[in-house]
Amino acid sequence: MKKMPRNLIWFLPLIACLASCGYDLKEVYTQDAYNSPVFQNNYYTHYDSKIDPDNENNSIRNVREVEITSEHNVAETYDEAKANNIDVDMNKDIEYVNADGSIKTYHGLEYIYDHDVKKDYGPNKKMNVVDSIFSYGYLSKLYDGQLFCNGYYQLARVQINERGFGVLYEKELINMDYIAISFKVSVDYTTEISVPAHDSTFRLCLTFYQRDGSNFDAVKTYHTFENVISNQSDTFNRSNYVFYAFKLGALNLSRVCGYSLSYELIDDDYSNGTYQLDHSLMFYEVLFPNSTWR
Amino acid sequence: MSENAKKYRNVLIFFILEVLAFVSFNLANMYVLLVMLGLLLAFALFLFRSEQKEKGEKFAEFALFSAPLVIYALLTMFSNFSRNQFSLLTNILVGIGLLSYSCIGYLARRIEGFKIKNAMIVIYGGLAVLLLISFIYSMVRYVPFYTLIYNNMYIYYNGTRSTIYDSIKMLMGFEFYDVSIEYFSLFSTLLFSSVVALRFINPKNNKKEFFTFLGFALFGFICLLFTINRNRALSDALVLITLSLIAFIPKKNTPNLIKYAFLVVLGILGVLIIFFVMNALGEFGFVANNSLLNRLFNTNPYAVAWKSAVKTAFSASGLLGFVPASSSRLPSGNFVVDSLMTSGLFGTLALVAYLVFAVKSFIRYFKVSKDTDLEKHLVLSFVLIFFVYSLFSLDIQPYKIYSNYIPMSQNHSFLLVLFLISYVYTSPKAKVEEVVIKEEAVQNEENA
Repeated sequence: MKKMPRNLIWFLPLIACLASCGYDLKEVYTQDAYNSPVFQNNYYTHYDSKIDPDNENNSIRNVREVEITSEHNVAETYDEAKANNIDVDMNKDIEYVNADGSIKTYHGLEYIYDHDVKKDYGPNKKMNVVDSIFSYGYLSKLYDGQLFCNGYYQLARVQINERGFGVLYEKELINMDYIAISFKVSVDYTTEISVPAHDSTFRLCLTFYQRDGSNFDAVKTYHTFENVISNQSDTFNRSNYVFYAFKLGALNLSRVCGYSLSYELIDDDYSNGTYQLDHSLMFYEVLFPNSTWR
Repeated sequence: MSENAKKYRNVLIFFILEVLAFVSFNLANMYVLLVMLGLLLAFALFLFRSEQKEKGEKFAEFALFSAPLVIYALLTMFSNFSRNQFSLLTNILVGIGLLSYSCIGYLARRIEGFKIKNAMIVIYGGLAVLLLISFIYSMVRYVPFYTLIYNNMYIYYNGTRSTIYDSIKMLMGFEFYDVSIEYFSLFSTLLFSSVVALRFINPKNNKKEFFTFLGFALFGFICLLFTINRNRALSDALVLITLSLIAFIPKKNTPNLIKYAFLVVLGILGVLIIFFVMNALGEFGFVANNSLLNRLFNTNPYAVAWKSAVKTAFSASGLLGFVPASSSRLPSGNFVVDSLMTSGLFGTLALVAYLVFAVKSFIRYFKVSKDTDLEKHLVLSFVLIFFVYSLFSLDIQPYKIYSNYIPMSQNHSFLLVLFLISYVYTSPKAKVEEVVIKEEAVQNEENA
């Protein structure tokens, strides 16, 4: 019995150590966080403080701007991705043989099929199988292989306004091939009775952050999307989604450890400058296929 | 007994303890593996028993005792639920597993030299290892008392939003999965049930044994405390009351306790069940008009699920089990109600009949067995706590991300319960002289 107090004493630091962990609890949310029926409450605008553009003391030292053009094999639709040798085989009728031998035919963009490995594109290329750092946090929605809404609405997407969001990771991108993003454009209709499908034009800014000691160099890539359909309901051919993909090789990137997405609204045909609408881009998936993070 | 037979016996006893350890640890989270081990062991025990040519007690008596279990196993194997959720091979293995472990318990007791106390220590040890790994990993990923601190908060994992306060990371095979607190707490509660042993061990005379069981009970309690959850409150209260009764009621009164408690429960349950069934089928309109009865039988979450199960079980499509609708709030957390779903109405009746036989067997076991009071109360505690906990908190759909089912018939701790119930089986013709031997053993223990 005399040993009991000694045993208890070293047990206490163990408890203290355990109490200081909580890796899964770095990001916790209330039930309504980014899941509100009010459109304006669902904008995700979080930036890591070191790369926050509104933080005067952020750690960004150098900025390089690149316009994404055809020389980067840019694609705005799945058709174009295939034409640019980005390894997606889609936008045609795909015949898929099920395990029981039956054949199911998928039409157009409903099913993105990787012809090399004969598996669904999203689930096969999703980032949370590339590295476990993409399994945690709110942005894990962008790495779960779900390219489209599929009826999950706010739970499946990250909704941004022009400010956008930015994230840094502990690991760095070592091997890179291309980046692919699946998103659509949506405009708030709670203040109006209904906002019909219409076109909007915007300039997307995808920024890569390269680690340089304790600071970061930002490589801002720009691409203008003209007359993108907005507020159109999902159809079987997913024509209201944008599949934005381009090769990363020409950007001379190294030690990439994070990225941010933001945009500038140039024109919206419905508002046409007469009244204010809440505009957003809704991101469903961000992929760095065939990449390695270390 | 010949020397060879003694060696074979010792190997068998070791094999029994090893299998129990694997089962309690839920080795590889592979039910088929546990079934295969159980089948092999049962076969070996049968061969040994044939070799020994035991006289007196006949296996046919035990077979009769196990008849309801056989019916339950058959109806579970081929229920609508099982055929929909699992493959034919899995369903057949479930039946083999239930019967194998039942046989192992019966045959193990009839091996000279087999001590149930050692088996219980092995079972608690296996549970403790499983829980220790899961608990430490969960406390690293979360924090102690996270269920209270992060009440009503959510996290995102692999794109899926889930609540924190009602989930925990548990070792299932070789990976950690997010499972419900109720599922994890079943094993913590079973481990905590070893606390009754402290009542029967003198720490001055047997320090090692005392601190072994104290360690098990303490760790089970810590697991429950650090993951305290309001969903489990009712089960926790019932478990504490039950353990208090087992531990503190005078030893000689335990058989009577079991008998009268069973009669009281049967009486109350019987009335409740009739009342419940009639209300679920829409026969008692006055229930809805009375606020208390309405709350008790219509609107509380348990009642909603139970009513749904009863209604479906009493229909042509649900008589042999059913897959629950998403609006039904099933699974319910109650092992009887959930067996209406997984085994059908007749399977449930067979299970209840088996439990009635088990109660009678426990009473005879307490009266005539040579086992010490410590051993008897450990066995009673484990079995009783499993069912008390499973009255409100047995989660048969434990994964937070997946919708896979682990029904009670495929729960590894249920295999241990069957082992113990069959171990306890005592023939109605068991001789009274064994009572004298038991009293002498108790006297010797107290003198020691």
